[in-house]
Amino acid sequence: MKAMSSHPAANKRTLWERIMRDIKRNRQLYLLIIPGFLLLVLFKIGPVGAMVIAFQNFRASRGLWGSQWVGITNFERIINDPYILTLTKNTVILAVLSVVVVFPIPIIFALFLNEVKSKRLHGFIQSMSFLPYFISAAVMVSILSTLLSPSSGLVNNLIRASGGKSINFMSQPEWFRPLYVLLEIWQTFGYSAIIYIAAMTAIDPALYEAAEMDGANRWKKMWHITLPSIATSVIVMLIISVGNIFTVNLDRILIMYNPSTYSTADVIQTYVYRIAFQSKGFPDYSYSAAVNVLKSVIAFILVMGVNKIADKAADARLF
Amino acid sequence: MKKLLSTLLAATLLLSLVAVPALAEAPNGTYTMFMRSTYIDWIKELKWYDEAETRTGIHVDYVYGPEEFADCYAEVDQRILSNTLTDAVMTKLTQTNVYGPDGVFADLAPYIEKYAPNIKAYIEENPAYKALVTNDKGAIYGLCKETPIFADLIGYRVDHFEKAGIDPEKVITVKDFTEALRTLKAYWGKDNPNYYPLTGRDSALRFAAWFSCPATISTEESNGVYIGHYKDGSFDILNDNAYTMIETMKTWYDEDLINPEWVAGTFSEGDWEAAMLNGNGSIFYDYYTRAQWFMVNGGPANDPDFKMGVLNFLKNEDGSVIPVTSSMPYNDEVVTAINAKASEETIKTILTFLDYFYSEEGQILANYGVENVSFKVDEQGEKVFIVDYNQEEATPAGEKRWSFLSDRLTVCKPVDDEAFFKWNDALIAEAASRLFTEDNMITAYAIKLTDEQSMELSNLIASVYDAEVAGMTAFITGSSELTNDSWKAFQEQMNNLGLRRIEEIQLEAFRAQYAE
Amino acid sequence: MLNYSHHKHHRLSLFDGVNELFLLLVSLLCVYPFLYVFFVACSDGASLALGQVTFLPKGFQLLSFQYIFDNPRFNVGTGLINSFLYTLGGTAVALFVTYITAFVLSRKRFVHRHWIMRLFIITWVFDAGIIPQYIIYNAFSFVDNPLVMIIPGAINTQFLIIARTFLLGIPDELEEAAFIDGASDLQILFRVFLPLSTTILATVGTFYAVSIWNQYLIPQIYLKSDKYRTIQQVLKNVVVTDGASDTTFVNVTVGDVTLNQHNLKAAAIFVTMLPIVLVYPFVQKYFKKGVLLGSVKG
Repeated sequence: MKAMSSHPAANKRTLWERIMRDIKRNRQLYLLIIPGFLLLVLFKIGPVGAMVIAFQNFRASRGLWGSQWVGITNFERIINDPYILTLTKNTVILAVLSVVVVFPIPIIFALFLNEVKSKRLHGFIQSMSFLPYFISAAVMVSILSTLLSPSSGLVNNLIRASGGKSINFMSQPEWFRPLYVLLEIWQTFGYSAIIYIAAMTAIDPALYEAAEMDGANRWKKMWHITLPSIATSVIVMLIISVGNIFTVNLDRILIMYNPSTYSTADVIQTYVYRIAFQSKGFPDYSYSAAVNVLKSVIAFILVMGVNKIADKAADARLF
Repeated sequence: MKKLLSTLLAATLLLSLVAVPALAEAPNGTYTMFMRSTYIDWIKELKWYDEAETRTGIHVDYVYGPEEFADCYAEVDQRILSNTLTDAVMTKLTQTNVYGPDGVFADLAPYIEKYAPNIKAYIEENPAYKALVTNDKGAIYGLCKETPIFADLIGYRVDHFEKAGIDPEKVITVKDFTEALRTLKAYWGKDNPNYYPLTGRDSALRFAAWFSCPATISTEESNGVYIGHYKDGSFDILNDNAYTMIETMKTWYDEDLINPEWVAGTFSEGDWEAAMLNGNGSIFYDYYTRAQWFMVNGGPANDPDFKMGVLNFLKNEDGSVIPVTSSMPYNDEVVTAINAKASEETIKTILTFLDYFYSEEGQILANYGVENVSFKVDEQGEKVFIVDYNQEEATPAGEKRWSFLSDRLTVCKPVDDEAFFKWNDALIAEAASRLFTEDNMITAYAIKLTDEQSMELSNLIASVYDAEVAGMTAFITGSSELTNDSWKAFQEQMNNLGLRRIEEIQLEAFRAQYAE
Repeated sequence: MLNYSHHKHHRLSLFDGVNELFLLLVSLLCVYPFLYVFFVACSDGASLALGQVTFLPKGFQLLSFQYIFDNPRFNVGTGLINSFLYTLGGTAVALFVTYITAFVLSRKRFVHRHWIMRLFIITWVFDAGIIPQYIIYNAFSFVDNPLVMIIPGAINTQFLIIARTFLLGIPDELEEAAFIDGASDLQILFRVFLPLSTTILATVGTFYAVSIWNQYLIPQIYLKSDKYRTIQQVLKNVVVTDGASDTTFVNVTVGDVTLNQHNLKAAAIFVTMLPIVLVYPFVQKYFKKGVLLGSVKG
């Protein structure tokens, strides 16, 4: 992009003229962006705009334009709710765990998988690692419950065999988070690793040969060649991860939680689900929209923050 | 010439293909109705339903909704937004109350006057029903279906009791019950560490009525979270007896008389079924048909001695019956409403069809079937089923059968409780006639809420109810120490979360509806 | 140290041994849940009810699958075909649109790339929820329209970001060389970038295919007619139990084998999972080793 000239004649060109010139010069790019741009405007901006129902008392019978405007009443409802502090704490902890604990695993997996020499073995392991992604929450939790069953589960059998007493893991609040995170790692590590594995295919083998000649061992090669080569992918995936920070696997929590574990398992998403959809009364869309607004604002601020850090630290900003 | 003939022939054939379906169209009308998928699947298998359509000449085109109730109601909202509402819908009372005046659903009152004499009579004869479906301006935006009134039953292993030397007739009070549990534990739990006499699924907090502390409502007071928990999971922690209940359950838990996984909330339906079938449990307090279910789904196959029975409800020390929580006479979750945009002709068709089920002939059809095909009238003038319950219900999915399970929504219609309980296996039919009496069951009331009440309540209940369950569970399992002080603190905590306010709102709504 | 010939021979070092063993173990653990579903589906119903099936099947029958395919209540054929069509069509459209959009947004000469990217990110982070989305989609007559599976989801912002990052990593020199030769943008896209993009196309294509196949909410909300239903919708009601009124499922007896609800649910789950799982090994061969001359810009 040309720097703005300070020549008076150049400044006289209007914005419109400058745009027209740019279109003429890059007309094929403009052409190519049309489908994406249309999708953006029609199907992405629209729904976000419709989030205004958070400021209404939305009713399907009155529609978007007919429903009553109530300003920030819904937000007040959220903030004044005595239960909201516990929920927020649980939500935030789960969110942080999802980035701090779940995020690195696929990277580590990809790094070690990369060391596997046999192409067939590599392919096999990669294909298998992908499978857990397809297992629904219901099936996974059911398998986990069977495994951890106090009466007949494998884990407790081992505990009893070594002289201990059975633990009902699924009913202990302190076990909820570890189990949830474990399932999250399990189900997503293969899927997330695909990006890193794909990035690793682009690494020039000559680099490894050169390092080998310098006497580098496996760990050094991993640390100095493989890892930096996928640095961009890592940063991008990190930003994406932060953008998704408040997305929980609602199905999984709903199946896993029970009265004994509410103190750690009940999060804002499950609470909103109970209010908006399970209640005997009215499906309260405005309320859940208000919660979504709050969640989204926080997530957005975090994404901008990470983006800035990525920019400063690694010159790898996203936007 | 040949060509002309063959063309004519082809044309005639084509025409006949079109004409035949047209002729087969219902002579008296047809309409579309949106309903939960499960219910539609059931309707399609009912022989009496086909007969009803034949007799009335009306055909209903059912439109499949989702399986979950919450999703169904969400879809009703979506259909309203996209203007794709069917002629009739299955919705819930809160939706009809709010959307009706907004012009989405038709006010049925004038049409019932004109076209539905039987429904009109029914409304007049049942003032509670009238109060429920009519709003303060006299408009009727939806019709609730009637539900049979039943309660959970105490199912027990007859053979277990026998071998352990317990006489079921002597299990009368809660104390007797606990003693029986101890005897069973001593006998059957001797060599079986997985044996717990009292077992069940999902929530274990279902015994409040036994301790006289269920959630209740009247024009004077509202106790406990009543809405949504008038039958299952009903309890009132502010009641003095609640402490006794928790104490007793804690005793059960500490003495291994009750399955600990169940108390903790981690025992699923499948786990419970496996436990009962394996003989790892002897008693449960659950849905009234369950005792029979185990007999037909693997019990005797696994253990030839397997035999289920139904215990009497427990009594107080003085011999008076302890009433238990029961179902509501009118189901406000499966309300039939009509699209306001439907033509008068369509509304007439819908009401005519529904009205048939409120007539005497229709009621016999829906509750007993066709005379001399599914039932007969015996010498005493009693109607008796001549088709076998177990056989009919075991018909493979997708095939037609006789079935009279009126707790489901098929059509909005009144229920014949007697017929409903007769349509059961002998074990349950007997238990029902013995136990489902007015004295034994607490009357349940459907409560109408205004928009604001609904909003405030759903918020409160979402936090308070689960917190109550969590707190009580903690006391029973011992993770919270149970003392008078800690219990009081727990009650305070629940009030701070909003328990008293919930009771206030419920009382307000109840009074508005029933205090005349 | 001139022993670099070692790295050409497949000598198993301790590192390799432990690494490969560990990864194999992980893979087997990953397969297991999938197999477990299959085991539950083909176990004998009675044993299942007694809780006897933990790791391995007990009894063997394939009748639960037969029941699902034969039952007049579900139309498995239609469901599978629909799911295939949506996945194939949706992935093709999505790959195309995402790729060209990512291309444009990665070109420094495109002055609008930053604010457009920002809009994509904002609309992704701001999760609107079902009803706002419904209000908009309804305006476009997507209700009961199979195109709802293909058009609105044609750009998933996360995948767009990934594709764009990849394209940004392709060295500028390649593009400049093509410009010097007088190539237009379109020619550069198809002659220079596309051949280099097999890996990213395979990656993003897989992501899209999986996401479309597994879609649950969109079909449930928007696809109403039987003829449009996906396989997940078709099989959701395999076992008609009714928690609310507790009219529980009565076991089905086919021949002399008892099938209970666990068998049937598992069979249904397995049938919905299998097709997409089989896709992945085929896609793997597109993860070719890098064709670039230098290393990817880190």
